[in-house]
Amino acid sequence: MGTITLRNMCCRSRSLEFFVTLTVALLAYCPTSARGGDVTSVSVDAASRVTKLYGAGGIRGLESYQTGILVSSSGHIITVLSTAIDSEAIDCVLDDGRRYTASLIGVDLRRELAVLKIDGDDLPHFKLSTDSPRQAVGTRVLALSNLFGVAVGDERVSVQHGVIAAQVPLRARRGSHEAAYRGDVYILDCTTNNPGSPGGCLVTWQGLFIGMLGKELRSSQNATWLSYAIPANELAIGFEMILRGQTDQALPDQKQSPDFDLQSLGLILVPDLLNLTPPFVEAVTQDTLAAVSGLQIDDLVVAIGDRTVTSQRGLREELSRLIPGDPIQLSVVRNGSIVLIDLGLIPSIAEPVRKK
Amino acid sequence: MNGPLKCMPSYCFSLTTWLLCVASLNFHCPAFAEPPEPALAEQTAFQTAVRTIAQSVVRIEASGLSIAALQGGQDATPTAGPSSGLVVGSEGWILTTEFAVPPDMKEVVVTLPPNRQTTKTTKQPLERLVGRVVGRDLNRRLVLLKCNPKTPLAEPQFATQESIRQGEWALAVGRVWDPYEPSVAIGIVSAVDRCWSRAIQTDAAISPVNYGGPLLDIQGHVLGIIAPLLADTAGMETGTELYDSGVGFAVPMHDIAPLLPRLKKGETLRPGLLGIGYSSTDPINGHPVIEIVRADSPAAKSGMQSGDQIISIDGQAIQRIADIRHALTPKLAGDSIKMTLRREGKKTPQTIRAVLTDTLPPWRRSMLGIIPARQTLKAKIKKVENNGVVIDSIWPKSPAEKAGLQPKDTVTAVAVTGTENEDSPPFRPITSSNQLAGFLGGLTGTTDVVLKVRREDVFQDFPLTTAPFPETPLKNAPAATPIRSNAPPAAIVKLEIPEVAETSWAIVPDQQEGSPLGVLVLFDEPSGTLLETAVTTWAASWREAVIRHRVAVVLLPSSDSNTWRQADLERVGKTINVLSQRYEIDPTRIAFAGFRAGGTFAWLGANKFETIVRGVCLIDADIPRRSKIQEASPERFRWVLFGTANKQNTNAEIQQPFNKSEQQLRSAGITVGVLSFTDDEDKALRLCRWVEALGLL
Repeated sequence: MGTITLRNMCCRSRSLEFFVTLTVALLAYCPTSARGGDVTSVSVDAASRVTKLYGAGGIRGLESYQTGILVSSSGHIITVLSTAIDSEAIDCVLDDGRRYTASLIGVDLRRELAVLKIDGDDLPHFKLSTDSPRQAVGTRVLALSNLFGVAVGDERVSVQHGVIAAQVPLRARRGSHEAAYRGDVYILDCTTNNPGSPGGCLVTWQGLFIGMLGKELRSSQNATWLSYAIPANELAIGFEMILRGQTDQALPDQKQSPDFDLQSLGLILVPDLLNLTPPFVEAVTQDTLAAVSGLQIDDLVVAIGDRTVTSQRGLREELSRLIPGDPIQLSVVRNGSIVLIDLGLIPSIAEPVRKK
Repeated sequence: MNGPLKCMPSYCFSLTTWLLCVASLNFHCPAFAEPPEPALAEQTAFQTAVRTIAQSVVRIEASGLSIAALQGGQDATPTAGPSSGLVVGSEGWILTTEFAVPPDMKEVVVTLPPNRQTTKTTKQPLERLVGRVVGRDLNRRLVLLKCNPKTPLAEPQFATQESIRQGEWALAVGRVWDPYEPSVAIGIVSAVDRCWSRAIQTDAAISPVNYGGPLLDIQGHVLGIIAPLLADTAGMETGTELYDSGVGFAVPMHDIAPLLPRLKKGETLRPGLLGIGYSSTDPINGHPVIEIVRADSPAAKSGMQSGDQIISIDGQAIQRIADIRHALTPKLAGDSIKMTLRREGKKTPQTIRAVLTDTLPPWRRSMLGIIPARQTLKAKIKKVENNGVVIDSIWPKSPAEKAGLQPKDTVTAVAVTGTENEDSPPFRPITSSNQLAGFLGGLTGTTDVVLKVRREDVFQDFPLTTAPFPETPLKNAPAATPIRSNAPPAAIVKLEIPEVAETSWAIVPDQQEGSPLGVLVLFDEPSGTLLETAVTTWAASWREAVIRHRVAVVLLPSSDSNTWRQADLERVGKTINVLSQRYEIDPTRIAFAGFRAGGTFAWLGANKFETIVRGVCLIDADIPRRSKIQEASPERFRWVLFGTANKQNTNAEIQQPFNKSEQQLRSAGITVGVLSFTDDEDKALRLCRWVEALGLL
């Protein structure tokens, strides 16, 4: 689904005419109703709480502009932490053309979130709440952002429409680097991974603020471009932390020294000679977790917990994400069918290997 | 909610739902009821539809073993990540696409949808099964898997063919993002009968996250299986090029369902081939007149003859070549078709039957040994060509030379002799070199033919036996066009493309009048911007060849000074367009050549523009490993040359890095030649002669 204009929404105008008539009739019957789902009024209203941001950037290939969301009447703005706002002065333009200079208040490295501040009062804004409920897959959304910098001066930011396609932990890459944020994100079915979109605002068709558009990243699963948004409650957590002066450090890219490895589980795989050697079991050390739980020679590991692994490298990577106390279950192919092997909980390093 | 809504267009649907919702809400709490907007009613419908299908959508992943089988002991790039599949039989039949299960892969891991024990919160892993590949539909890029579930799987409901209409809601569902909950993308049916009547098109976001998943209507009924089909767009190789672009395809369920029993039996379904080629050069709008009938093909066996016009296939009226492709592309090998044909000289249409095949007998281009004179568009418009094909030169030691043909002779008709069939066609009039090429395309190996030739207004018959096409261009041009001492110099022209920064150049004969130009696009080693001074240096060694053989030599700079990029390929097509706007070019003589990295790039370019490029020359270069090599066919004639620039190098290994590719290409029926150049001028002359020879008949 592309950038929408009013025309798109009127494709079904014949039916809409019916609705307008019927709704008017019913409004009289339900006087207390709060209207929802009117894309035009929701867009106009949300756009007044979104700002276009222009920073320095300047590094080749990186944009110097993005989007921000007003979250307080006194001028707090949340946006994506990026090189675009790595600047002494950030220009901030509201939908009525008012221009401010924003300063950076603080950042949250884990959520790649930045808080800016402009001097103003009585500004329209979205209220952040750590209790913001998560929205279901299939929820219709509007994404408002400064995409491609096409909106200038007092022009409103652009609005795109779509639905929440999925809600999953982010596993993404920018180039060869893993993205810092690993929490849940909304995956969208419209293409919002555009220059200028980061920091854009995601609302439901009722105008409820539910998230902030993320960076231009590729999925580490299949290298397709991701259109995603960080949910509102996560933003609220990060925002409050920044206001308190705390910083949430980014999670390390990989655990430095895994507390345990294949060997300590008692699992010996065939020699890892290829780029993608299949994780076949070559031997199982006696009296180890692997042995007592019933792993056998020639078993082929295909999954650990819910993560599928196709190579020894993949298996080691998945293993390195676990910490002592985590349950560990391996799915192995044995004689043409898949057998689930429960290795119980990962022992802490101090604990001696469990014996039968 | 399903009951009253079946088969209603979506606007009616939302209206009805809306009324129902209003009614029910009012019933429950009339005082605070909020009338749901149509948008919300639709949202509820999306979510309901996805819930309806959820238990039938599985996740497909390669296991370590299948990857090992794929790489065959060598390092390989990983496959494309997880994919989706649709249950098509409760006993464990799963349909997915080639994207998840490439050829050679025998088994995969199937992750079933969550059940009561395996929700996201129970921390109990989802049930995984081994899925064995049972059948494949190579025409639609689908794969049928069988797994053995403990309990029956949920079978989805299929939409009826009639209910699939442009503009209706289309929901793309997959299980790649989250194994616990299917993902959804919303769009509409953009078109039906796409990809030559094999696919529904949608604007819902289609990508590797939902290939193999179902495309649903608003009621959760399956319209089709989402698949990375190849649209006819030039250059699509994997089918994933269009992901998230607003163009996605799904194979209609009503096409797959009848094939399921065959797939379950373990059959591999292949595209059905007839073995015909057309006289028109316009592959879409051309008249459906048959030019080529491949020897021993279903078309030949059914009695089709060159010159026949197809008027219907299986009852469908045929007016253009596109109609034939719509009728035949969905067919599989083994399918029987009924055609009606109009044949010259027969009053009533002929009805014939043909059984399509999966492979046509190997084809190698055969030749008479004549190079026809290139005709200008003006001459063509004046219908000068109706008089036949004028011979420009004769290939030395060719059948034409042995038979005594001479330059300036005009071939006016041809016939195959020596066939046992008494009803063998008499002389077929030849009015263009295209037609003669079509006639030769239908022959195989060596064939006895007779040519009717006009020499100074006297008609003579010349019997001869066709010979295989030569492999290496001649050292000396056959009956070379003499180059006048006062011949104008070669000109250097700038080819600027709108919105493209890099300038390309062409070295062309500096005379506007004359026969159409052959085109040789040269790819040097990547070096970035190409300055006029550098082009002038090139021109020095290419001048004579360019004038003598009337070839436009196009020089393209790489956009990156270190490497040739995919994006540069786009520029190649545009550059040829710009050239053809300024000069009349001969479409049968377009070739790419390149040195080292440029040679490999020339090969990729020739693949991208396979419909226009007849020749590729790789100098000190080899074709990339894993490159697509398509079987040669009359419509896709390709002459590949491997050149070595350095004559001093006697090390056989270095001189011929292409030995293996050479064999591969030959076994695909492609004409392969090997040559070495003594110096730059030799290179220029021999390559331009080769461009000339591309038109050899």
